[in-house]
Amino acid sequence: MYLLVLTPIGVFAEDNYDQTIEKWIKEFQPCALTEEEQRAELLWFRKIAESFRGKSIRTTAEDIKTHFWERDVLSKAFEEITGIRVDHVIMPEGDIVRTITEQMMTGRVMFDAYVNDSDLKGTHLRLNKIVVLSDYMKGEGKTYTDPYLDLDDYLNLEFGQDYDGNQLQIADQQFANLYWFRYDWFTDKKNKADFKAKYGYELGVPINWAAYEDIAEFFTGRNMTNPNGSVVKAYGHMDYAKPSPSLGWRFTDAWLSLAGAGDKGLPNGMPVDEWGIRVENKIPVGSTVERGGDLDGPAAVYALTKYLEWLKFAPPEAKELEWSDSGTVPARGDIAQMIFQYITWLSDDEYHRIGSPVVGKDGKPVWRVAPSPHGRYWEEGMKVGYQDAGSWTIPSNIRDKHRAMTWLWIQFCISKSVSVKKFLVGGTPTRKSTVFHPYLTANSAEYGGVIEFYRSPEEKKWTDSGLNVPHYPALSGLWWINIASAITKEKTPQQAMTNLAMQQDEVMSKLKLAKFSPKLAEVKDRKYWLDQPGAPKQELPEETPKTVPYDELIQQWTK
Amino acid sequence: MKKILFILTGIWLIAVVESVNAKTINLTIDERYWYPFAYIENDQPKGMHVDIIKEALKNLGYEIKIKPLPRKRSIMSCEEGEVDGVISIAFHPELAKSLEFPSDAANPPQSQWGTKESKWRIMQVDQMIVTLIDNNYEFDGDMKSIPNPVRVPRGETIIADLEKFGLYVEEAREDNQNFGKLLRDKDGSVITSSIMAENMDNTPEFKNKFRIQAIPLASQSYFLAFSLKSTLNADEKNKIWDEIKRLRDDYVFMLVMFSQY
Repeated sequence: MYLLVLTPIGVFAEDNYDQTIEKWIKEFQPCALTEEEQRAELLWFRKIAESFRGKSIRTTAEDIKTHFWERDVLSKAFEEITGIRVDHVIMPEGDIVRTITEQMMTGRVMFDAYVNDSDLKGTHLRLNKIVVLSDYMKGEGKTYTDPYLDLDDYLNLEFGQDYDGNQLQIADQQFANLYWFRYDWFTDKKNKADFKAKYGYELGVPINWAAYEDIAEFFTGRNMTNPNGSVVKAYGHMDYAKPSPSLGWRFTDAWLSLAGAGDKGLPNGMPVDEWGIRVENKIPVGSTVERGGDLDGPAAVYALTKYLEWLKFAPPEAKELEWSDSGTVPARGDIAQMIFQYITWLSDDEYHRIGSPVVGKDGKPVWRVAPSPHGRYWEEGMKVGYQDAGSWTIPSNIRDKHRAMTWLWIQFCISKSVSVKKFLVGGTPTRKSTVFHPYLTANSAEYGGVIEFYRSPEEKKWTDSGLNVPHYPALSGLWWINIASAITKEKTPQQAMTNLAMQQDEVMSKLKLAKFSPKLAEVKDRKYWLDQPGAPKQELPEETPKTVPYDELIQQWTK
Repeated sequence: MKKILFILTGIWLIAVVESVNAKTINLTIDERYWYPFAYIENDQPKGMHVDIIKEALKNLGYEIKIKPLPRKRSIMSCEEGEVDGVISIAFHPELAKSLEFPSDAANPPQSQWGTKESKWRIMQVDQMIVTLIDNNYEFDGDMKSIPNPVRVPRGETIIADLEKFGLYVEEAREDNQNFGKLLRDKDGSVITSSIMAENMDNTPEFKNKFRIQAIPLASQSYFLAFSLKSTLNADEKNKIWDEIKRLRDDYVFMLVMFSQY
């Protein structure tokens, strides 16, 4: 079983390495692999990295629990097993976008790899400044490709692919954006009776925005009791509104298509996607309605208008919060629902701790997640929600041994040896073997519906930004400045979206990309485009609010 | 009608007076083709460094004139006071005798990347080593090991550092001349930026003929350096450097600027 090495030092070293592997096998439990398979995989890493011992690499990822664990635990394991030291730097997502752009555009060697959202795949496809991982695995990197990698096990390999199925990026973590609510409050008899009396329909999971709004109004200011006995004045909504890069992705993460802007099509609307960009033959041709886009159409304006209106149902401090501050706020026990909750935050201890205001006396969460309610412009066939996929990306200026070492670290982070344990820490699965693991079958109640979501074929309807977006870094910055101008009332929602659409088109017109570079369409009368089928969509009347009982809705995810 | 003409004339006069009153700043730039940082296209200076400088000076109310010159001539024109400064130059103690750099240029603070970066730089640029494809050489940080001769763009400040290690340096006006010599002589190395090397690899003449080393040779802050004879006072110079810094830290400006290349 163990190699016999001729020198005493060699024998000692071999035993030492194997003890190290046994230690980490114990740590990474439960596991998607049998113990024997796990040992084989970790031994493979040890052996293949022999010539790299003592060297170091530097990578970066955003500030969520999954990546803190990679930094604090996984990198230690990797170094002990392979001898390669990893400096895994954690920084805000906005800084990651800024830094990878600088590296690609100036050639600076800042990081060997990034966990960079696959929302940038349209950018990477067009800029051609990253390593195409599928090519690397077949060619130069074949020797260093883990024979146990099993990419077929991935939930959404397509997130990191280009039009031809080439793997540009590979997910390290993913998390959907779902509707979060207080199941205990929604099923409380008095709440149900009072709601029915006031609004004329049943309190339940909102199917549309009209119902979400009624529920938000109903709960705001209402005195509610938590399982730990605390009494609170509730808020019917939670959000964040501080001008910052994260205000941009509050919208680009499919908020507009949740409202119903854009066309039908999975994984992304075609020809008009959730960024409001119209694409013809893979070439972006415009964002304004006048060019056939939908970024300043009635549906987009409705999306921004409702975002602004609903801030009155959220705690006042929401206006000072960014993405990284707001996700854990509902765990303090005074939020009835949150239409736009990134489920990575649900791994926070406060959502699970006995004694927390959102955990029952039986230790199970009294909150649930459900499909996101959609706005009045939404149609069947459109994507239902957003899924973030932080994905390993190697800039093409990372070369030779550095590229090989980096690829080994990446594969270690996404390996089946660690994937289940990683999910238990951070709640961001990428593999089927994780979400279908017997441990999660036995403990699914602790996750409030997240496991059911990932097991369901419905999961495919929550997708990342698509290949339509030609330059995520340049365009994303425009969003938050313009959204902020509407928050401060410097501009009306229509003015803000029109300004955004025009700026976006102006930036796109100046892009000089290696392929599928934007080419703006001629401007036509707004009425011409609004009269065409599909996006941009005509103004629609108010909708009738609709809800569904959670227990009935969850059946969709357990079919 | 007369009233309208009078008003229009008044507006025109105000515009003329304002443009006369705007201070003009004369700068020079190396005419070397150094895409995407600084290069000449249709006789106009272009590039990321030029974009940042132009925007900074515009924000401060300056009119700007930029004269492309060969590198050494560029520095001489600063020494002679013909221009206010030079765009896109790295610090060297010898240059500090005739050019004014920001206060931290001589000893910049360490960044989170482990490189020394001035707060008032226009941009940080990595210098890479390029060798022939069939040369097994691997740069591991040992300067003395760099294959001779080391071919560098004329006037680059890194030349002095290379010579300190006993390396034999050859200079050329343009990078493609250095690459041509590398292929012709089949020995030595070229120092250039990663982007320039990759662009060379996209040309039929140089494709698949050389290798860019994995580890950078150096990472340098590039500056707008002022002539010691410039009429700009210390406060004006500091305001310009501060505006450069502000723009470089401006998230949206930089991302949009990067996207244009």
